[in-house]
Amino acid sequence: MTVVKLRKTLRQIGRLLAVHSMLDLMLMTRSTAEFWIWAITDTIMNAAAVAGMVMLATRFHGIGGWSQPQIIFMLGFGAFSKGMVNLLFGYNVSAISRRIGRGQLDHTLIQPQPLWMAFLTEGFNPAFGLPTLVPGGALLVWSLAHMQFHSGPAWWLRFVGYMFCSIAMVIAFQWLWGSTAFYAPRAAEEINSATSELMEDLKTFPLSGRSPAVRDMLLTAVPAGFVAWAPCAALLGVPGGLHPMLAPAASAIFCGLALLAFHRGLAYYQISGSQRYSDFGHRR
Amino acid sequence: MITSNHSKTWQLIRFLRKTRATAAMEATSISGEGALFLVRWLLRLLRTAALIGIWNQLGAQKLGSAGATAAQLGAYTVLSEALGDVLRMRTGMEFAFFNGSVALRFLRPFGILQQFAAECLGRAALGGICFGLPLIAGAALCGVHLAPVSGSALIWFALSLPLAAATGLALEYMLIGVGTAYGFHPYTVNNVREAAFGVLSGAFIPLALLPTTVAKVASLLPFASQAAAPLEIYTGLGDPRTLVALQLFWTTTLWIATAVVWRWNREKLVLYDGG
Amino acid sequence: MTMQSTEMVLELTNVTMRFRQRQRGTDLGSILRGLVSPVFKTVTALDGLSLRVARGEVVAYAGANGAGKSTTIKLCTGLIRPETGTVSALGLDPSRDRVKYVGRIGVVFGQRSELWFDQPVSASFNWKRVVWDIPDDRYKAMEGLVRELLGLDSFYNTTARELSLGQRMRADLGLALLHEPELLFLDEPTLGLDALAKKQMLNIIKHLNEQNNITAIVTSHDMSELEQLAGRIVLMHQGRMAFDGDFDMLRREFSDWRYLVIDTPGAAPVLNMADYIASDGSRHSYRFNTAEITVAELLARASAQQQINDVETHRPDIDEVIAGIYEKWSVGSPADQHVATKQTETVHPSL
Repeated sequence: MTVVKLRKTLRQIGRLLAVHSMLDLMLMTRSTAEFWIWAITDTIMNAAAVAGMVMLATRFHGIGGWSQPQIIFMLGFGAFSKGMVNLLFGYNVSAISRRIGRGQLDHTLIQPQPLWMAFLTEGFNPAFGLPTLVPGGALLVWSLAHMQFHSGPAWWLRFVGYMFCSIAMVIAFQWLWGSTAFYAPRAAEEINSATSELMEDLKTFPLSGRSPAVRDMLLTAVPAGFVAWAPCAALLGVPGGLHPMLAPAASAIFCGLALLAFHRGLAYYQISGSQRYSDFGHRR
Repeated sequence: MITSNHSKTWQLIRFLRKTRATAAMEATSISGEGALFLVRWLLRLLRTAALIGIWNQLGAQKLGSAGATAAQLGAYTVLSEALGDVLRMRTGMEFAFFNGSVALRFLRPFGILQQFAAECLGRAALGGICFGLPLIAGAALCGVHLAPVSGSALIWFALSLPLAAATGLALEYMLIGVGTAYGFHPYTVNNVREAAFGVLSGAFIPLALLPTTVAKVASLLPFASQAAAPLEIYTGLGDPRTLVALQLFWTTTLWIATAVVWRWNREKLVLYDGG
Repeated sequence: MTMQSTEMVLELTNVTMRFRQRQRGTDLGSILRGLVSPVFKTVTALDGLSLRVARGEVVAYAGANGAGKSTTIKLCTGLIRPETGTVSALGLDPSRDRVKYVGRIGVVFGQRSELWFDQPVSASFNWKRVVWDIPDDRYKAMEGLVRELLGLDSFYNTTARELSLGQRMRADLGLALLHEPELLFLDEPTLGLDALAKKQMLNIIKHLNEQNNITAIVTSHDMSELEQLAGRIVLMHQGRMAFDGDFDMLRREFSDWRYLVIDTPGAAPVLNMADYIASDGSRHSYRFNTAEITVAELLARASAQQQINDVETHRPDIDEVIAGIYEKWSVGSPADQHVATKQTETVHPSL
């Protein structure tokens, strides 16, 4: 890619993010009451996903060799990652099975832009997404304040890197399963609700001291361990974690698998078409 | 009199037939595209294993301070997942209101609430056959002790389970009735319900393991009657009489409230066309 | 309709598309069997279709339900690829060169909307400007044109979900035209619209065809509307092209029926070779088959019975012709021999 082409692509991404921010802002200002209800319930939802484990860690002063602040840091990391997914990949970009299962991919296919560019920008919803970062942010701040821990710029750089890997892992897992909707639109339309819920539940489990079977399962079949536990073990230096490069490597592998699955599914879709269409959720 | 009895019997038979036909349609719609629908349950199987793992990880001493054993919690989790579709009634009615498809349901000679309940039944039956029974059998083979804590506990459990389903359904109808009548987006209704259910129902993390004050408050709320009650009875983590009494209270109260909400908002609910 | 050239903008060559449909029983046994060994039926949606459309043509693409119209539109817009055969449009492969290609075409699906549901129409237009990367001057010109010709001003800042069907469709068409597409695909664009909305939609397509030489392919079940718009009609039946020509040719080929209206001072004459329809005062209407009798012969017979003051003959309207064709096809008349029967087969994949 030449520099000119790269600059043009980046400019277009910027314009697309700006136009989607504006649409999101307009949606928010359409009804302030509705916005606040959305923002509050989304935030509660995000907080509720980790609340059980927070309470468990509080009741038992930590779990599996992790202290209470360490567990809360891990939960905060997971909740913040989820908030970022909401912020960047809303409008069923993350829950891609819905778009595919409802036959809505046609709308994206008739846009004169690469699919990656559409999916990278269409889900950006700063107005509705920002509040969902609050629970994760609050837990991170609280836990850092309660740990004897020095966080310098290098540490924050690693934090950002691991956060990026965590987000990539969540999206990859969603798309890997979501691609099944190409083959079974009705049965798999809501599969990303199930995978998202599962990831939400399982990412909160500290894997230190777990039986190898459970631990391996949560690092392979459902790679929830790479969303919060492995990055946090590396960031906090908790013994019993994985090699620090394993989380980024796993994210890269899962992203590759997800892209492969999506492209294979799309090739199938282009032969079989979609016999199903529902406008539900489309641009609403 | 005889005619009247016959008529009532016939009405009941017709109602049951309609319920069965609707439940069957729902179950076969889900399973109509091959075995992919099993994935949802496969994922839940992983969650079950992970949860049982965490109970073992907490250790006997910590669990003992909460009045529980790892074996009790293992059985609790397996049952919670196996009965997931019963303990966590989800009709999808809020979305039917939002996209307007509910209008077609009004044209069927079958009550709206009954239609959605029949669909829940279809999903629960499918879930029971394809996931619940295999999970229970598999867990028993893997050494999870699944016998009820006592014979009487099994009887109380048999009484508590339908009450849990009834509470869940009433709670579902009431939340959706209020949410829809006030024009909330279905995802808003969904988010509120899921957040409350996730933390307060005890379906995921048993209430006994939560901080004492939270556990006490949560156990009095309807979400606990919807999910935790039969599981606590079966595993001996709660007093059956108190739990069933609480379930009866919530079921009655919520169904009355549901009837009031639906009657009061009937016009709004009927006119809500998803536009 | 104007300025047609010999440059082909769309070429489908020997295209076949087949879809698998799962077959399911309703009893528990067959449901369980279906999980292990699913049974499929293969349906041929398009069967060796070849079609060429020149720049500037407006083509009516018609056929009964299930004839393969929407499949063709999906193929031509690159949403699906042909199983066999080739599709080329504007010198590109619609599926392989998707990004380049869809920037030059416009698509309106009558049953779907490209508008952002919870946003004003103007926001969707602005969104399109960015995604399609439309230069500002061209955007302003086209925005002004579609707002004027489609009468969008009165609801331009209204949220899409609050629009009536006619308003929504007009806004959708306006959106599809914003980037000045060379090739326009309209799949049932006027479904459920009132007369005014239809007229506005047809007018702008005619206008763009005349002024910008836009090529359009329109599917619809409303034949009179298609006749107003298109110079050419392609009639599909069971995945094959059953007719390709103009509307007069279609009438000639598929309908031998004519209407005769005669004005006489007395009662309606009795004409054995014609069906008497009705009388309106002194005007009497008949329907007759030109293969059986000519107008001259009928008039001769009528004038032998009555004095004839005035005579009118006319062809059946196009909807009637098409209904007659569909009826013939549905009962497997000789016309059916000219078209393919839908191929079906049952396969058991080794899943």
